[in-house]
Amino acid sequence: MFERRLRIILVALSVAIAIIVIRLLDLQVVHAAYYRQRAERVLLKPPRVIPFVRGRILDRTGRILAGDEPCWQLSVDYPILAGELSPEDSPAPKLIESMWYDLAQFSAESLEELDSRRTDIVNRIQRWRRAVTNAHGYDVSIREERMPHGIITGLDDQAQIAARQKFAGYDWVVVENSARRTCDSHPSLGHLLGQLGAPNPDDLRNDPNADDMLSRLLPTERIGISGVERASEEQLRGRRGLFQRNRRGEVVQNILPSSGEDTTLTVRFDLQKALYELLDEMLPAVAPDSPGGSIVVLDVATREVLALVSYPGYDANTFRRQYNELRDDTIGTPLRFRAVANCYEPGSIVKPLTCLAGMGTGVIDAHTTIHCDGYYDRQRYLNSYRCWKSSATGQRKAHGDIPVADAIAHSCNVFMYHVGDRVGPDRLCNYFKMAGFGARTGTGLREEREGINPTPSWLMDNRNQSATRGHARNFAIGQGELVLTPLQAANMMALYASGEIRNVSLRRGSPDNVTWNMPVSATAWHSIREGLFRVTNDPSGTAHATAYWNNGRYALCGKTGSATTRPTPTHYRISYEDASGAPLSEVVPAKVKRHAAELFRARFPNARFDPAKDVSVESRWPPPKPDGSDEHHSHAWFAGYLQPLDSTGRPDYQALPPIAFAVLIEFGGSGGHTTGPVAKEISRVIVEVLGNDLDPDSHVGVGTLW
Amino acid sequence: MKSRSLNLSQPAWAVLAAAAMLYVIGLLCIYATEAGRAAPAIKTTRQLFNLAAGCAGFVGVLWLGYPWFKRFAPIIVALAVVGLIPLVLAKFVPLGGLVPEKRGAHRWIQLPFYSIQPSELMKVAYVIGLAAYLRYRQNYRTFLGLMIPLAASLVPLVLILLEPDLGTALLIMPVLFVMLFAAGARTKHLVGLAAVGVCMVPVLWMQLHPYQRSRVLGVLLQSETLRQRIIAEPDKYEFLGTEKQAREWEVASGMQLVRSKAALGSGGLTGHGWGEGAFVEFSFLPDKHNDFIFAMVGHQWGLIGCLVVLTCYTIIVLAGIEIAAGTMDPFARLMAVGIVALLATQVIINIGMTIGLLPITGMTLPFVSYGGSSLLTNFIGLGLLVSVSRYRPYLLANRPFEFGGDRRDDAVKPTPDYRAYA
Repeated sequence: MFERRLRIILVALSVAIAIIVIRLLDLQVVHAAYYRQRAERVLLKPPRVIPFVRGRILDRTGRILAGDEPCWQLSVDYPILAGELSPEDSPAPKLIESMWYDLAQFSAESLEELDSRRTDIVNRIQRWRRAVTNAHGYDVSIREERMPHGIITGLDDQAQIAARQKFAGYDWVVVENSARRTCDSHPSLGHLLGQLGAPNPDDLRNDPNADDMLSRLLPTERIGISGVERASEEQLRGRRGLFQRNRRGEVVQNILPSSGEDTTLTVRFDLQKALYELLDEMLPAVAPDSPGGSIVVLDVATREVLALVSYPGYDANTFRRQYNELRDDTIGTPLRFRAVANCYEPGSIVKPLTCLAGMGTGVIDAHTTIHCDGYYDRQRYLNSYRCWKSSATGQRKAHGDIPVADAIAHSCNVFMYHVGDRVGPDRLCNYFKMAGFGARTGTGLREEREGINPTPSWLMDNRNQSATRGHARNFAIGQGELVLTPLQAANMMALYASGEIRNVSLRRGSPDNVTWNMPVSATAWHSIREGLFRVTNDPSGTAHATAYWNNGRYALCGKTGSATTRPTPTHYRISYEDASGAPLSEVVPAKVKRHAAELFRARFPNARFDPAKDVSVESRWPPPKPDGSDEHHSHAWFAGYLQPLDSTGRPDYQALPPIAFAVLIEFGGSGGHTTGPVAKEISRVIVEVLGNDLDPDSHVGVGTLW
Repeated sequence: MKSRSLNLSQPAWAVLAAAAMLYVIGLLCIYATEAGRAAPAIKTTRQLFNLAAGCAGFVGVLWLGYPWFKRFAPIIVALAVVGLIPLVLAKFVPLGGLVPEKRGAHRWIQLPFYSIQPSELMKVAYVIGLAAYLRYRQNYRTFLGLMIPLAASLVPLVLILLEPDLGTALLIMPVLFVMLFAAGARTKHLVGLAAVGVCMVPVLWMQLHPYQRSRVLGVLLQSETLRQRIIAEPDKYEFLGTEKQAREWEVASGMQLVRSKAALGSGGLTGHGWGEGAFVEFSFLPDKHNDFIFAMVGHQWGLIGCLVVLTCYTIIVLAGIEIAAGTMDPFARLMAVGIVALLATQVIINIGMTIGLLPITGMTLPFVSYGGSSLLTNFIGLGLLVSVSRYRPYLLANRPFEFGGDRRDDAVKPTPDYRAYA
């Protein structure tokens, strides 16, 4: 019926239609299930992430030291924060400007402060976006770029109602539920609890939960960056929840968030607080020049930290606001966690350890007497190795023939020189290592430093020196390269008290640590404890005059120490040329040269100077004495324990002393004079707080923060 | 022989019924995509008005009769070309509200109550003009003679490409070939021309906008395995697209195709039902009432709905060819074949792009898609087709375009004086 060519056209069209039908069969019959799934996926709304509640930090008695507190926050839409609005839906710039004025007025903060917070948020989101972009391989916009972000947080119920009224006119400002980390504001807790902050790239790379979408670290969230917040991060973190609907309103996914676990510290807040206040009160009287100090109290049997005081401290809640002020106080250095992060020469408090090394290696025994004529070797070392009672002018005040216990009680240097000389640097440092020098104590705090145990290999690596007996003599009295943190000193004192080598623990539920005994005989221990007892309790002891304390059940034992040190820089002067080439100079507060240069460059980006040549020390602390000498400064130590007494008032060396502690006062001068009275007061406070039985778990009652 | 009564033949009724069915399906889809919105069904209402305009065009064409178009063919073509000029001018001279820019192209002329798309009208004018040119000639049976219609076709082609409206421009060449073929041009010439065209492809390829190229490549990039290969060895497969394109394909350039396939495929055999289904309820698929309406048909009524639509088009094509075969007027036959080719090509390109067999171009689905100019053009074409069927063949006339068989290269038979019958 059709013409031939028309028929050919028809055939061609039929082929096309056949291809279409085949393709439709493939799409709608063969692969229908796959495409149905894809269609469902298109329907999904973006999921809403529900934040978790971070675990609380409790003290030993159950008192809440830090926790998430529910509050309200004022949030502003991201496009407004970033200024990324398309022209058609952008509110008038004037309206945005007036919003910032209103926010500043509402929060009583400066516009600059709000602006820096705004920049922080935008930078954080952009960092996150870059991370997602890198992971996907192409540029994506992230949900956070369409969400409001908190600009003022911590509003209470009343404030949030006021905020709702005040900001009703700005429809891109919302009042949201939020939580804020609130800490006990006592300054003794600032270092210990630590701060939250943005995770750094290393944290993100080493995230153990990287595989779990809901618990992995997000660059936008805040994690513990210091103190216990950091050490217990794993435990405190919870798991986020996820809530997802599709566009029909059906709930597709509803995973509830799980809160983080609480961390219970071994610290007793009441003790911590009382000791901090004690330092605060006594420091100006006993050591007016001292920038600060530290007290560490340990439970001897378990090595739980009962107090970890670093003075001066700060209020963890206002840390951010005060940061610049705290940073620039380079005399008091309140940001330093002195108890674990600062290392000091131990001075005489290591002398018992030297004796233990001597007796352990067999070079002396408990009854060996060594003659002290005031000098180790008067002919060769008149000035360098002399007893503390003798002076450089040859005025001799000698201890005579003394055994171990007397040598400790009188803190005889000559005795220790001889023991150190006989033991030698290698074996001496082995004993130091056993006592925990040069290693972390096990608190898990990121700030904690190892100190230095100057073993022969350490000396070779760091000083390019071969270890000599001279080194050993120096180390034997706690001078030289040997440095300790106050926490290590307290642990060493607990070793003297119990004979057990053990790690300390700061948090309840820390893995049970191994205990082993020092390879020293019972008579040796007896002589050490006898010596430590006599330091304070024998009228001839070095600290009897200032630190004698005895309440009938316990007597304070311990060792004083004065470690010679030099004043440290507090300010640097930087000579520079400004843009016009005029020579100028500026004083910057900093402890080290490099920081001074960095701080200066941040303040004067255009100034020209050579960090190697143009930075010089402007002032040091403590300041030079009126006579011009600033040579003989020393840190003052007292490390001790409370020795149980028997019914006759004699020390009962069979009983385990319950509490050991160490106190350090920077630039405090002589240990006996400065720290003795403080140690006495510490003993009084410990008994007052822990009760007569010195049970760390006494008076347990749950206190609350709010 | 002109008759004022309706007097429609069977094929004409079939064409009309199929077109009506398609329009109703389209209207249902347009209404479904708008239902439940707060705003009134504005597009549905407009599409009803478009039908009124289309019907007026249809009746007008029937009333004038196709010989009128034959007589005024040169004028019609000239008017259509003139209509395109403002669109081209708008690229260089701002014409403001008269020729608004939409998506980077100037395709519409905005009149107070109606906006027209001159390139749509150009399509019909082109068919009429070509039919009028070819009806007396035989020179297109020589290779050089083919060059004249080819060159003439370049005028609308270039003008439409300048708007730019690649989709409509793509229609010109298939229609030309089908009409030349139906008019009896030698197969070897046409094949030769097609071969030349294929050789020109690389040159044309260089002329395309990057977005147009990525659309063409989109057909290949549908394949997950191919995308993975590009990502794995970006240097080797550079000619197909960059690594970035391959990674972003699903969310960027391929998004519309991915969603159109998901809409079609999730419809399955019977579909979600009228007004049901994610892609009808929510706006995930751009142009779902327009270029991608076939995906909506498949989403709501499944494979069955798709086959109904295809059947309607098959009816139009079959009946159209029947009408073409039934007339002895060479102009009428050529025009009828041209209109059928025009409709069929649009359908193939539109459905082909919706199901991922052809690159995505802005092409409406005749009678189904939303759009005034498109509907008007299609109804005018329909009117011409029906009009042709109303003129009964002259029984004594020679069969047109019989050159003594296609394969023989013999001399042309003595030509009857066509003018005697016109």
